[in-house]
Amino acid sequence: MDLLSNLALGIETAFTLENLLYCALGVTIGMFIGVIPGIGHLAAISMLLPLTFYVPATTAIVMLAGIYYGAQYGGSTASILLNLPGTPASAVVCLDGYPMAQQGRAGVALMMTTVASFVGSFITVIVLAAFAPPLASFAVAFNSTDYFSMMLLGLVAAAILVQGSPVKGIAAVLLGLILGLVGTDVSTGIQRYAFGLTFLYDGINIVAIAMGIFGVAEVIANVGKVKGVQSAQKITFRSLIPTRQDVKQSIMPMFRGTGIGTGVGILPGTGTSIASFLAYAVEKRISRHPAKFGKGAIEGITAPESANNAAAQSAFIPTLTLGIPGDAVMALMLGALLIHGITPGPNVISDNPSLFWGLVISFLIGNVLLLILNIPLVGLWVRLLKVPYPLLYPSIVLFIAIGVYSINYSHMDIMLVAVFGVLGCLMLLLGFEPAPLLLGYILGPMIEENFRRALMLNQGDMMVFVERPVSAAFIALSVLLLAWSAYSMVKDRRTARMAAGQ
Amino acid sequence: MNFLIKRDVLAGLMCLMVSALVLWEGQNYTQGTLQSMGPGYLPRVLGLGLAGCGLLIMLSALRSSEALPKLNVRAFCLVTLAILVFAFTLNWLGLFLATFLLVFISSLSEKRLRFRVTGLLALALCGLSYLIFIVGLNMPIRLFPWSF
Repeated sequence: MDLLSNLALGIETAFTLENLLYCALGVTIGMFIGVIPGIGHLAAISMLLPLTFYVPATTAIVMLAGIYYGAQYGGSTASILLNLPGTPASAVVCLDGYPMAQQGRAGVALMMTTVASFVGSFITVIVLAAFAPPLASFAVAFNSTDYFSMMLLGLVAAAILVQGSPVKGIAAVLLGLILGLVGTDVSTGIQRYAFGLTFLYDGINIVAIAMGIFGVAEVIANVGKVKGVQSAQKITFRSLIPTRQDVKQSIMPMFRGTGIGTGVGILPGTGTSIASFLAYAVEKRISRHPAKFGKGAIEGITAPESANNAAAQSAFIPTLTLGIPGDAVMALMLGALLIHGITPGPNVISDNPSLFWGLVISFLIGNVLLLILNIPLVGLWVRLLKVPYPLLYPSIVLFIAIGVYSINYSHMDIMLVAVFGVLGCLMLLLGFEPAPLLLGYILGPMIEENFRRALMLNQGDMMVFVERPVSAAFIALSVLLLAWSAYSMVKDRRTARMAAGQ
Repeated sequence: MNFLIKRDVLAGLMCLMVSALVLWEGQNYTQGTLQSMGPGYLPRVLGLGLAGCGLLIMLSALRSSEALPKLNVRAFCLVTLAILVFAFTLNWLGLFLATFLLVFISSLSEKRLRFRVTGLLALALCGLSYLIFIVGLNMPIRLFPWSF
């Protein structure tokens, strides 16, 4: 009964003209961004973040989310046709998708990845609707101590699960936390790290940070590297139709991929890339013909595609129920909620039921739209691959600059984008991941507030963090993660030394 | 010399420099006690943590010999410059000229500047952003130096 009224509320919210329009806009942009190599969904979401100031919170999230899962659909197109991933998560689709295209089965590959994406998303949206509300009502009992520990776990996971050195991941999180300090201290009203600059008194604009470290840095890294495509295979309608064998071989991999993706998406610090790689590895391991992988095995494209779409949807579970973003995209979603005055946390669902249920229904609508957009318009998406990057990147830079200006009408914000662009490039150069920095920046102020409050209420006794069971569990998990990563670092070094010695 | 241009040494140095700045500026804020933390407590903890990471990263550089990846210096300088120029000319010269400056400066990152194509791109982008931001979103940006 309750569920029915909630669903009715969701349908009522999602089917307003404005929300439908923004949902369609979001998924189309996402598809577009996903198809074209050289612009990622992070850059796109940060570019469109300013636009969301002009619409209600639900509409804003509906659109931003649309970009995210839309890009998961589009990403595989370039992987299959060009052997060039449109998004990092679809890199693994190259392995079997491109051989399929070479065998003249590009159409089938495009069709099956679209179907796999749809299956992965659709099932996971239902999981989201079923599990998020109970999880949120469990988390309502959390106090500031538990919150601090939970956010700590989120940050530790974000730092450690990134590619490359975990120490650099931790450093990136610390840098983000430090950037979050800038501005007025909530408890005392003192200006911290503003260096007398008035435009820093309200803190650094999140849009400026995101656009700088993702958008600008990405453009600079791609100039001269991304080449336009001369000729892409022509895709006819008939070539899209899979054989019965293809369908039969894909059903179980899609479900396994969905399961893996859902699980990975919920964990903090992971993202869609890890989900798709894991799904591929599992399929290869359990397959009866592992030798076929890499030579155009259909399981090798359908399982990862279901997985990355499932992960993109299930990432909303911790974000909307606990206020803990799993990756940088979710951090931007939290940023959008904060902009609209909604404090992320377990109360989001109960305080704004129309936001949560509207979002769930809009995910379903968006996925159906993507299915419709994808199949008849395949030819159009393929043609998009021919847009030359030299025309694309000045446009991206311009929209970044005007976009950030549109928030406060402050030219200092545009300047900050340039500064963070430089920082983003430095980080790329020196091997720091930008995503943990953004997570640190978003969670920083909340962590500090909860840390201070927890210790104030407990006479400065640090033991309180291990005395409460919920908090203790989070702390234990964080410590385990740290210990595991330290152990594997030492082990790697030892095997490397042994290999070098021999 | 060879030691200094290693990737991890530079990465560690960057951490140390940032942490020095954080700790130095943080001296101005009262630290407080664990029970009632002042505004300077967390900055100190974070600064020290970052310094620790910096040292660890530099230590790991003793073993690794990873060189710096190549940066497209031309694109790096020109794209950054294009954004800065846009920032400081938008209010003064208006959207039209600022857009042309941004598009042309950033397009110089390519080896060969195609004058006509870039001009047309700038014109098209001007029209698009005029429609979206000035007509659509009603933003108070002047279009030409002599507008309002």
